[in-house]
Formats: sequence, structure tokens, C-alpha cells
Amino acid sequence: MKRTAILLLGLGLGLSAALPAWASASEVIVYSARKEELIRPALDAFQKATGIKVTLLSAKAGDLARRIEMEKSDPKGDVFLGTTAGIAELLRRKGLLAPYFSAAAQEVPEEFRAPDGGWVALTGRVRVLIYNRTLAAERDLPRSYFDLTDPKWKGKVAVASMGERTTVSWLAALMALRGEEATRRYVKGLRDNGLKVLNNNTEVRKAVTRGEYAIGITNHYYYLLQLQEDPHGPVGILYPDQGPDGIGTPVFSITAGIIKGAKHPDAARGLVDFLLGAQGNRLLVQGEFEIPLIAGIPVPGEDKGVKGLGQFKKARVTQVQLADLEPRVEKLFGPFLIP
Amino acid sequence: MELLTLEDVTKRYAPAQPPAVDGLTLTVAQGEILALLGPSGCGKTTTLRLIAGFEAPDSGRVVMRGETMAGPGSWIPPERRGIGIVFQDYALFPHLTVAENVGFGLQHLGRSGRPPRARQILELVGLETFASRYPHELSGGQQQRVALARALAPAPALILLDEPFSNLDADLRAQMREEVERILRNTGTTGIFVTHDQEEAFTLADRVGVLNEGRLEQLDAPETIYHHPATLFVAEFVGAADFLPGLVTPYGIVTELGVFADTEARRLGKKVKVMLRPDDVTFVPSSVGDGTIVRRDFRGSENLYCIRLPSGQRVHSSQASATLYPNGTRVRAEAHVIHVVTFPA
Amino acid sequence: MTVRRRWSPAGLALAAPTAFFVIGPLGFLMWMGLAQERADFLERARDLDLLMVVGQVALLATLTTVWACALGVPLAWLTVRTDLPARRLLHWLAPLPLAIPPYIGALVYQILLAPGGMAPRFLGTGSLPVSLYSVAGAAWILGLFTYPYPYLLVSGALERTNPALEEAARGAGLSPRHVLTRVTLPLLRPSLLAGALIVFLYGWADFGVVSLLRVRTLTTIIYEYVQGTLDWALPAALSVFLTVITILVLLLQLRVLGRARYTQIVGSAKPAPRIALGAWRWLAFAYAWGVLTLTLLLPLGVLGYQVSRLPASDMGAFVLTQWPYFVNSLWTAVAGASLALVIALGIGWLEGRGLSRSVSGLFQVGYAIPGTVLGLGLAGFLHATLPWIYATPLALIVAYLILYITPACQAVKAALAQLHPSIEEAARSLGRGPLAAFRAVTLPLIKPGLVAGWLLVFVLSMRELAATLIVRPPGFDTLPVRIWIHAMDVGPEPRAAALALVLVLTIALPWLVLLSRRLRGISPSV
Repeated sequence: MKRTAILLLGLGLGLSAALPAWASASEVIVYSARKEELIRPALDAFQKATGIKVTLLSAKAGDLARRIEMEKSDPKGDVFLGTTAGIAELLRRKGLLAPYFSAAAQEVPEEFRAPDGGWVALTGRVRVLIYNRTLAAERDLPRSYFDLTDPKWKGKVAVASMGERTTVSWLAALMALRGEEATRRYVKGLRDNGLKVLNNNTEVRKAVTRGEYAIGITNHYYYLLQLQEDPHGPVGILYPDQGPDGIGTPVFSITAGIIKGAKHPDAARGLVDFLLGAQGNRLLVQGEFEIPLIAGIPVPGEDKGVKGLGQFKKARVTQVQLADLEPRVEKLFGPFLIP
Repeated sequence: MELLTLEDVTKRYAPAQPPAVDGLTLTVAQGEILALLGPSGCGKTTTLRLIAGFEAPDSGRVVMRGETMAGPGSWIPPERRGIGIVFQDYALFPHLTVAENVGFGLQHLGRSGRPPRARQILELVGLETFASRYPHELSGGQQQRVALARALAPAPALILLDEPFSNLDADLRAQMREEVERILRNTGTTGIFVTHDQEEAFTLADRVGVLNEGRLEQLDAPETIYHHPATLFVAEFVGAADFLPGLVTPYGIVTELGVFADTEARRLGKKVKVMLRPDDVTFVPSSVGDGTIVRRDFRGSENLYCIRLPSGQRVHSSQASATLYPNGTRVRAEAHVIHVVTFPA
Repeated sequence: MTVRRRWSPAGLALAAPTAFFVIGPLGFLMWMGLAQERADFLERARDLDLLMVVGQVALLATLTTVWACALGVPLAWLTVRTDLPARRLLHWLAPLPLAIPPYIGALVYQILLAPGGMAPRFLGTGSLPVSLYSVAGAAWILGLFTYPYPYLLVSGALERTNPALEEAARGAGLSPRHVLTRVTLPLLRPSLLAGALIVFLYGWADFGVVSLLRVRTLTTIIYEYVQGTLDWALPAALSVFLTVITILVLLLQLRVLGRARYTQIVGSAKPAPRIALGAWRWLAFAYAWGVLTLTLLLPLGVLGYQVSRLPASDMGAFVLTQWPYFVNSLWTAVAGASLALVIALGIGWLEGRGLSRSVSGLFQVGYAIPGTVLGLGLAGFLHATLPWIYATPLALIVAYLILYITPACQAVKAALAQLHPSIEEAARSLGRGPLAAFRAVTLPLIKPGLVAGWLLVFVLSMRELAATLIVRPPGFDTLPVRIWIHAMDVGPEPRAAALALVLVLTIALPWLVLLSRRLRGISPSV
């Protein structure tokens, strides 16, 4: 056994020698739920401007949040980037985010900021409907989410699974505005009408464009991503519930929060400042096709029918309200939001 | 001078089972060749493994040259016992050449000392021209010789051979037997070998130990084992034997085939069985004879006749190859026993 | 040496950490799962249609098994026992699809068959009449890329079958067809069962394929909750549920295999005669190449075509940016395989001496745990007990070890089983101590088996996805993780295909080494 032990020891030493040093001073570790390629230009610009190396852990928001909670005694990450405010708000309430009032954050409308500075929204995303122009004629299009339970759309509507937090936030928005009972009835109606749950929003945009489904409930930038990939694809965008009695279209946000006890707090603050600053935020908005929350940054895809903040009727629900309701949504509807 | 002693050695593989070796005591003299003979499962291979150090005795001691190899509180591992072993399957190292196999046990000689010694041993077994071959390129007899050479190379005081000839053809077996004996005698090596073949044991060994169910039934010279078996088991296992019922009387032991001298002075009136070897029994054809030939087995150099006596008892008689009598021939059988061996009935 | 003690200090030294690493993650999940209220769990189980899901997984695993055997067993018989044209080449190529992880197979067939994919576009329709996104579709993919398991085991058994048994049957008056059905096939049953159960367990625990093809299984449900929510209790409770069922399946496997093993036939003087197929030759030829086309040529072709769609310079630059991930995969897999082999050798050495009985049994449990579950439990467990391993590449290596020591053990044991103990005893009697004898004699003799075992663990570690997704440290993605991220972010597009091609080729290379050495007889495991 001695030989084996020595071998093991040798291997162990060899391994630890081979490990890269992952706690270098000029580094910031980002736990990102965001699509890597879309935020890459902004992060690269930060790295270039400051010389601070950005290390990404790309995963879904729930996975990242679970890690942050588990690691709270010895945090491994510095910045959390969420795809909605919901998970960030949950983390904040558990005391896992460090308050930071960035000067740049003052530009962001108040409803997109945590009151204690635990998180701040970087960019916005609008919960729109996309549709296949060959399958759905302009005049037949639904005007509201609630039209999707119409038998006319039976088996023709797709949505992303619970793994995409925006799906959860969307139902939380409905619950905030219409109440739990109505939302329950609505979800049941959707299911009875053959709502198709796909793995993620990318599948939704592709399936709708290909004509597998007529309508997709998704975020506005998927419409632009689809057009980028396939400029002549038969895909259209519509903002539901814009009428006088409509609830409006919910807006969610990419949120950044600094993890409490982060090993690189200065770099983390620097990154948040950068992403809220004119240069960083512009890159972020352009890379992600999101809508800016800060004045003076152009809205990508305006020529293709995308509307900026203030150009459509926004659902009257704050990010904190959404976060409050999301656990309830998970519990009530989680089982139905799995492919 | 004694080389090896087993003192009351017992080995059990499982608590529920009878011991594989049961209270075995024996002594092997320097330069002697000893055969352990017995049916399969008698414990002879276990005995070998106890001597080699591949098994540890549950009780008793294994002593070699006065040093305890195994016993209460002491244990010498196989690699430090200096005992050579020839395995039944030869266990040659397939990844090493013949010379490397033979040199395997010569580490103490160093890199330069090994080849001359290996060559010397290979000459002894007549394989000097095969030194660079691999085991799978050799015939069975050659492999056997390599195995022997490998075991002999470190000049062990004792060599153990486990059924050494069982994998060889009949004619090769006789040849190898002679050769092994020559080599052991020439090198003065003490040898213990295990076999279930009495002929092998008799031709090769100075003394034969017969084992049964883990116990030593008899340990004697081959002739003694054959002519004066100590137990019924030895009498039956070694050579063919018939057992003729008899009664001890003042005139000797009275049996169906006549009266035998009672050399062992048994109690009068006791019922006994007299051992008859086939070469003790003769017969002549006779129309008034009370025996009948019921079967003849042609053995090449002899004919073995089975004769039914009036009582229904059968005895065997070995006759010259050329004497032929048909079944059913009436005969008069006689027994000419030099060593009368009896067992209690 | 004799069995004097059941456990030696060395055996315990090996068994204790084993128990720690295998039972630890499960214990952690159980502890987390306890927080789950029973009534709440039952309600969610109802909402999730859990019973239906279990039935669906069982159906999927069964269909996969049938399909994989239908592909692999006739092919094995054709290449080993008939005069099929080019059978040597086929015999050499047939196990190669193992180099393609099933989730990459799923990517390929998505590109091919999904609505808007290559085939529907070629046919000018929107979608095919049969959907790939179904239990049948997932079974189709899983069967295509796991058939080499039954193939390898059955062809190995066919090569070892004693032809005298078949000759005896002919002598007893059976026609060739009856010999096949009444002698040859029954003799193959143990290997067939072994292969079938490997495939069944694979289908049972799969995550990658079912997730890509949107088939709801226990693993995808757990994954959704892990990905989408902060909840610990429900995914932990579901994981325990899944593990319990999996261990039951495993026990069944051990039972069936344990009973079947005695019929294994080993050793034959001459190879069995080949059966002349006559007019059926070319049909069989078409069948064999059909299998290889579906499982090897087509996937490689599709990946290659996808790669060629991007300009070479772009693709080159992209592959270069992925280089660090490739290195990550490579060295963790090499370290995992090497450690697994060292431990397996230790286990083999000790078990050969009766010194540590149930260590490999414990690992068998680790091997049956679905990667998603192991990842979840291991992350929490390591963080709680060994924080210096948590969120380091060591965590990945630990995961590989837990998952894949069993195949390494099987390889070591198979190699050791072919050695008669007298070989080592001969070395002992010639003056070598136990370890010296092991090094001088045993080690060189079992080396081919060790190489095979090492390659097997390397390959399996290279392509591990489910556990890696959860336990990888920040900035330390592996190639499969990158493929996954690309496939999920953008879909099965050229760049995911390029990475997949790199992975497949990296895996295929050692496989080619393995196969060209014709090291057979080791059951390649999940």
C-alpha cells in the first residue's frame, strides 16, 4: 500500500501544482445567468479598460443563487448577474448581497433598484409575444396574454421552462396585477389549450419562426436575435395588453448585485460602475438587444418595431413586487413549467 | 540430518468444514525425496502450501533447519524461506524469456552474476539453447524443465513439486521423472512432491507419505507401503487389493483360500480380512475347481483375471500376458502370500 | 495469502474514504430532502405526474435497451460468426460510436431531423411526421449511441464460446437454425443481459439526451428545479427518490448477473466455423453498414458539414478561444483516469487477498447515481466537509472518480482474473515480497487491461456533463459544458458542432488506440 500512497500523494501534489491561481488580485468573478456571448463585448471592454480579468461562471440563475447561498461563509464569486430581479431580491433578503450605491445607479429609475442598494438593474427586457407571420394574420393576433386561452390558439403557443427566470417573473406579474385565483385559472386555461413548454427562450424563438408554433411568449430581444440570425425570417413582435383596460406589458431587468464578502469588492464595484456607465451600458444594451434604462442610450431594433421605455404601456408592477410573488409562482406552477 | 519438520500442523479453511490438514506430523531428512500421495482433497497440496508459506497453519509448527517458519507467534513469509517450488501449471512468467525466468530468483547475484548462474542451471536441465525463447514457444516438457531450473537456480535447500508431471504425456512423463530425480540427486536437493499417482510416488521417492482427509495414514519406504500397508485405506489406495474374510485359529488364519500364518499373533476367534494383491493369487484350470473366471482385463504386459469363489467373494489374479482363459472357466485358486497383512473385519 | 482477516488496515484505509465520498453526497441530499414537507411533496408529486414520469423513464430505458440490442446483437453475430464481407473492418468500427456521447448524437439528429432541420428542408416539408421530441425519439438516439455495449459484450462472448458445444448440438441432430436458437443464443444470455442492463441503466439515468429532446424524466425535473429555483428541499427529495429507485434497479442487475454468470463459457482451442450467409450476405452487409451510417458516418458527416458552413478563419479563431476548456477537460480526465486506476488497482490487489470485500460494491452505487444527482449532492457535501476541494477542479476529479471507478475496477479485475495465483506465488517463492512480486510479475502482465481501463475512464470523464455542470468552479468549464452552453444559448449551430467534433475526435483517438490493440473482454460501462 505504501507505493500506492506515494503515488497518490505525488499525483495530488502534481495536480495542485497544475491548478491555476484563481484568486489573483486583479480579477473579478462573475456569476452570470446571462447568455455569455451577449454580455461578452461589455465584459471584454471592462477587462481592456481596467486590466481586471473577468472570470465567468455561466449557469442558470437558480444554480448560481444556490451556490451563493452555500458559499456564504467563504464566497467564491464577486458579482451576481441575474436575468430578472426576482432571484437577486431573494438573495438580498437572505443577506447575501452587499449594498452598493453606485453613483451611476442614480440614472436608473427607482423601481429598478433595490431600496438598500443590494442590486441594481442594468438593462430592461420586455415580455412580449412573438408570432409567425405566415401562421398568424395581423388582424387575428391576440391583443392580450389572456387571449391565448382562446381555442383559436390551441396547441399553437409556446413558452420557455421554469429554468428561464423570465417565465416565472411573467406569471408573477400577472399574479400581482390580477391576483392568484385569476392567474391559476389562466394557467389552467393555457394548459388546457395545449401550451407547449420548451427548454428555453432560444427554442421558443426558433420554433415559432420555423412555424411549429404560431405564438411564443418570450422576451423582446429574442425577436431581434432571431432577425440577426435569419434576417428574413417570418417573425413578428407584439406588445400585449396595451389597451385601456389591459394590464400593460411587464418589463424585467438584468440585475447586478455584489456578493456579500466578495474577495474582490473593489473590482466588483468597478464592474458595476462600468456596466452602468455610458460606455459599458451602451455595449451591454447593444450586445444583448435590451432596452436601456438610462437616458441617452439608443434602443436597439427601434427600426424593427422594438419600443423603448415610455413608448409602450408598461405593466404597473415593480421588480420587488415580482420578487415577492416568484416563490409562490414556482410552487404553484413549477410542475407545469417543465418540458 | 533432518531438514524439515511439521509438528502437529492443522489447517482449516472454514470453521464449519473439517480441517484440510489435521494434526500432521512428519520429518524430512536432508537430501531425501519424499512423495505425498493421496486422492484429491486429501490435503496434500495444502500441506505443500503450508510448507511454502502460502498458507498459515491454525496450530502446530513448521520448522526448517531448526528455525520455526510458522507457528504460534512466528511467521516467515514465503520469500524468506528459501524454498523452491515447481507449480502444477509451471507458472512461468509469460513476459520473461527462459533465461530471465531462471534468473528471476537470483537478484542477490546482481546484474552481472545472474546470467552465468542461469546458463549453468539451463545446462543442467539441457535447455541452454533456449535461453532467449519465451515460455509459450516451448513444449510442455521444456516448460517443465524451465520451471524446475527456475526453482533450482537460487540453490534452495528444499524444493516442492506440486503434481509436477500431471500435464505431460505418458511417455514424456516417465522420461521427465527420471530426469528430475537425476537432477535432484546430483544437486543434493531435498524434494517433496505431491501426486495422486502411486507409480510416480514409488519410482521417484525415498519415502512416501499417504494422506487421507488431512491425516497422515502412513509414512514409509515405497515397498513397505505396498507390502505392509498400515491401514485399510492405504491398502486400498496403493495398488489393487482384495480382502478375504478369515478367522484367527490356533493353526493360523483360516480363509476360503487356505490357512495363512498369523504373523501378528491376533486374538483367537477374531474375524479378520486378509489382504491379497493380484500377484499373490494364482490359479490352475480344473474341472473340479470351485472358482470361476468371471472377467479378464487385458493390461498389455499382463492379464488380470477376476475369480468368483464359492462364497461369492471375488479375488483378482494377475497372469502373464499370453495366458488366455475364457470367462466361465472352472479354476482352482491359490494364494501364496509372503507378507500376511490383515485388518480387523 | 490466506483469508486471515476480513479487513486489513490497508483495506480500511481504502474503504473509509470510499464510503465517505459515495455515501456523503447521498447523505447530504437526504438531509436536505428532510426539509421537504411530506404533504407538500405529495402535492408537487401529483402536479409533476411523478408516477407517470417514472413510467415514462422506465419505458424510455426499455425502448432504448431493445433498440440497442436490436442494433448490436445481430451485428455482433454477423461480424464474429459469419462470412460477412469486410467483417474485420466492421468489427473494428462497430464499437466506435461510443466515442460520440449520446447528447452530441442528440444535437446531430436535431440538426438533421428536427423541424426546419436538414432532412425536412431537403424534403421540402416543415417537419417530419414522427417527432424527434418524444420518448421514442430519445430512445432512438440513446439506442444508436449505446448499442456498442451489447455489441462488445456479445461479440466477446461469441469469440469465447466453445465451438464443441455447437458441434455437440449438431451431433444431437439439431439444424443450424435450431443450434442458433437453442444453444448459441442461450449461451450468450449472460453477456446479453449484462450489455442490456448497462444500456438500461444508461437510459434510466440519462440527462443530456432527454433534456435536449424535452422528454420529462426525473433527471430533467431535478435539473429544472436546480436551474430555476433556489429551492433545496424539492430537488433533494426528488434526488433521493431517484437514487432509491436506481439502487433497486442496480440490485436487480447484480442479482440477474450474479445468477447468470456461471454459464459464461471461456476458452476454446479453435475458433468456431463461420456460417456462410449465401444470398443473404449482401442484405447483411447493407444492414451492418446501415447501423454504422446511422451511428458513426452520418453524425461525423453532419458535424463536419456544420463546421464547414462557417468561414475557416472564424472557425479557427473560435476553436482557439475554446482551447483553455479543452485543456481543462483533458487534464481533469487524465487525472481522474489515473487516480481511478490507482485506486482500482489497490482495490483489486486487496480484494484478491480477501482484505476488503465491499469497497467495489460501494463504488457500484456511485456508478449508478445519475450525474445530476451526484453533482447536486457532491457540491453541497464537499462544501460542508472539504471546503478546500469545493469549487476547485479537484471537485470534478472527485466526481469522475465516484462515477467511473467501477469500470476501472472491472478492467483491473478482468485482467487479474486471467492470471493464475500461482504466477504471483512463484515470484514469492523466488524471494520477492508481496509488493515486489506484484510489481515484477503481476503489473506487467495486467498492463494491457490497465491501459484499457484507463482509456475507458478517460473517455467517460472527457464526456461527463451532468455532474460537471453543477460542481465546476468559476472559470473552469470543460468541453462538454461549453457545448451545452452553446447548444442551449444558440441551439445546435456550427459552433456547438465544432466543439462537439473536437470532443468526439479527442475521445475517438484513445478509442482507436484501444481498439487497434484489440483489447477486449472488459465490459465498457456507462
